[in-house]
Amino acid sequence: MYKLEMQDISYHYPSSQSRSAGIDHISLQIPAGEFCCLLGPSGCGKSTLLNVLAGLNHPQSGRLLIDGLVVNGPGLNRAVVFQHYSLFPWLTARQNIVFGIRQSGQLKDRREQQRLASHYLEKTGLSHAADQYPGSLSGGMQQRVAIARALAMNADILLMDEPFGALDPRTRAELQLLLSRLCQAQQKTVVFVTHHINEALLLADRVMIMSPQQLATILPVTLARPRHPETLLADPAYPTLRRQLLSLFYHQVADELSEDASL
Amino acid sequence: MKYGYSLVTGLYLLAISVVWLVPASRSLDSPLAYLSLLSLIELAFLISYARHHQKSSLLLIWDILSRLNLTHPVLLPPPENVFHVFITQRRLMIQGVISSLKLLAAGTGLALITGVALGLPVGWIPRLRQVVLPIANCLSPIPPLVYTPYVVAVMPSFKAASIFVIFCAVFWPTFQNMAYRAGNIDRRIIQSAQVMAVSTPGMLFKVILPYCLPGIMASLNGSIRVALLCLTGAELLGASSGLGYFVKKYSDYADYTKVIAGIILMGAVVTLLISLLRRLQQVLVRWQDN
Ligand SMILES: Nc1ncnc2c1ncn2[C@@H]1O[C@H](COP(=O)(O)OP(=O)(O)OP(=O)(O)O)[C@@H](O)[C@H]1O
Ligand SMILES: [Mg+2]
Repeated sequence: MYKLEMQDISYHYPSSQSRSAGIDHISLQIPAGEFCCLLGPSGCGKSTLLNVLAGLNHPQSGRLLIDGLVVNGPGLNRAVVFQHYSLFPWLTARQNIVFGIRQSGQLKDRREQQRLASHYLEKTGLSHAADQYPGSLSGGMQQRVAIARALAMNADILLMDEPFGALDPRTRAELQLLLSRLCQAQQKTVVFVTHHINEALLLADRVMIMSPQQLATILPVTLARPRHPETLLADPAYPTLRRQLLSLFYHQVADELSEDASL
Repeated sequence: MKYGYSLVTGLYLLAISVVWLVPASRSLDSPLAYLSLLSLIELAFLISYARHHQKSSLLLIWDILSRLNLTHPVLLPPPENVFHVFITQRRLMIQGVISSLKLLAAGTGLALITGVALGLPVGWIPRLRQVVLPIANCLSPIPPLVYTPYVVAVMPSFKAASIFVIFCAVFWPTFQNMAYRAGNIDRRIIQSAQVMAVSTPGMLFKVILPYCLPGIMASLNGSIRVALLCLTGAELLGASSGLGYFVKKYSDYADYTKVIAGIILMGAVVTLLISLLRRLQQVLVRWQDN
């Protein structure tokens, strides 16, 4: 039985005129504890797919199953980090995280809730900004609050849409390490959208590459864990995988380029 | 600023010396209240460094004019007498302020609660919005002042009438603002709440309400003035206490000293109320200024 399963799911935006927006007949199975990275060109439907998994987009056909049961909406077994950070602007960074913790219902005691929030604020390097409102935080800081909120909710499944997109390289590396450790330790099932091949290779057990509306390829990443940016380079399997991904990822672009010049 | 300061203090001293030195040509009440008001203004200025000299000089001109007998004794009474009213009539005035504020609080509170409670679902549920909003858009632009006399005449008691008028002044802006903002709430905020499995009451009161609060406060800021306008209007027509009643009663007796005192009191109450509201707004929607 899979943790997360999509059976022949199609979703098209009702507001959109063109049939080319959305996703078309996608099936996919993700076992418990697997870290899945989703790669693909902009506008191919990655966020759409993630919103289907989150239960926000109700598919016109096909079924979504979690632990073998059909699911029709959002639930606390999934925590989501959106591409837009979408914090509540009327709550401070800390209050936003506490809101998530309260919703998740894991801790009843208020002091415990605050402690957990402080823990994740510290982990994401936000202790100094804990009492600021989102309006006065930078994009990267808001993104980190959203990540902290999702992690603190302690869901089995993490759905993350370019969660490190607005971060500087150093913070990004720190949070990659944090996420990778946390998911290893707690056996979380993750679907993680990214534009970075290196990031996908660092984090993923499997990489899925999307072409418009479809899943094009699924590639297992068999690099040894724990992975680290430096040790990864030393792994003999790394260059081959990277080249493979690059050629898959830039498939169309590479085809066009090869016609007029050899690069 | 230094120049302004010396000007104000100069005016203050001048005003005091005028009171003591220029012989009065008609009978006056005790100048105590007037002098203490002058001192209060001077003190307020010293503390805040605000531009109070305009008020002070206005008072001085008024004082000098009436002292030199240049003004009509009944229509523009001397300032000593006007401010002395605040001492002699303080019971009635305080009573008036309290009864007016009570009505205002009742009407505004009722309007806020129903405006929010009805505006929330109307804005949130598309079908309800399509039905209700056109009707609301048709009813809401009628200024409450227009039907105030009618309501006062029709309602069983003055209390009910004035609460109703205040209610109308505050309800429509609150309701419309609420419905509009709840209908146009950022979809991403709703999604963010949905994935955290926020229940329907939670969605209404923990998400949509705080999201709409700045709009409610902003509309209240405007509508409370209209409400005060309507209330005093209603009080002129048929009250037995209140700020408007105070003015109306003495203008019937042509006692313009007390009428002017009543008007000044009204101005002070309105100013105080609005600045209080602004403070409340700053505290409640602190997050928005960032
Ligand atoms: N709310 C919406 N209504 C209508 N069409 C939409 C909506 N959201 C996305 N689309 C369309 O669906 C397609 C896929 O969008 P999606 O946001 O899933 O892309 P993406 O792969 O996440 O891109 P990016 O990498 O830029 O985030 C696009 O063509 C987009 O125009
Ligand atoms: Mg996207």
